[in-house]
Amino acid sequence: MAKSIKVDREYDAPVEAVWAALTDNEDLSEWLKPCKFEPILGYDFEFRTKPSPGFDGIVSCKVLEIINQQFLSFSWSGGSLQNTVVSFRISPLPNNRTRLQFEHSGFEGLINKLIVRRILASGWKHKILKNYLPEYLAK
Amino acid sequence: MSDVFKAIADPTRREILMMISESPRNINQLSEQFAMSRPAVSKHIRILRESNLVRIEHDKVDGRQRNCYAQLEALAEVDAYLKKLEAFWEGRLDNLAQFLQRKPKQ
Repeated sequence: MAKSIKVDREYDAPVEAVWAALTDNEDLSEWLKPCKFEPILGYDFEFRTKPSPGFDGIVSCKVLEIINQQFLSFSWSGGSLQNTVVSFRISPLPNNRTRLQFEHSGFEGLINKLIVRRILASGWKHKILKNYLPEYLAK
Repeated sequence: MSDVFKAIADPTRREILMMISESPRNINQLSEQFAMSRPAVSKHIRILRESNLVRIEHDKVDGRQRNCYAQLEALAEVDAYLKKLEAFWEGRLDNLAQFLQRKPKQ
């Protein structure tokens, strides 16, 4: 199970254009999902996506970090995803191209504990021997 | 699906799940193990059950006892969900490429 979703892309456009596409409300609404974004730290906004059973289609976000023409991150909460984090890191490449490193993270807290502990099932046995049994014997 | 995340977000429910994934236990046994009231354990079990992480069967010997079995296959749904989410972002970032092509260069 992945700890986060990572996508690495190159775009045939200069950093300024990619940054505008990430931070301009109309641009973002066009290529991502309709929203009322403002590039202001702490700004709350929503994306409207397709509703599905158990999900009203609204993703609530808050701008978490913003470094002009370099980095943008916002929280992403909707449906099963609560307080996950989406981030975009951009850097210039030769020939007016731009590299984008995208990441959606924040699932690990919920999932990994369970998975790791399941894999380390012996850890559970260990815990019984180390904690529960001595407690029991001490009674 | 949404319930799986909620179900495993709680540390007590993770503990319960870990415990019964080792071997099935009934609600009384779980209450003892967690020093928790029976209704409190039942509530956790209900949430785990609703998200398909736990299955309950009546004990074959003592029909009054209900045994809890872990069904960690439900976690495959989490994996499937994240794969779908990844596909969503892949699609959106493809959109971004097309958008940048369309947009007149400044």
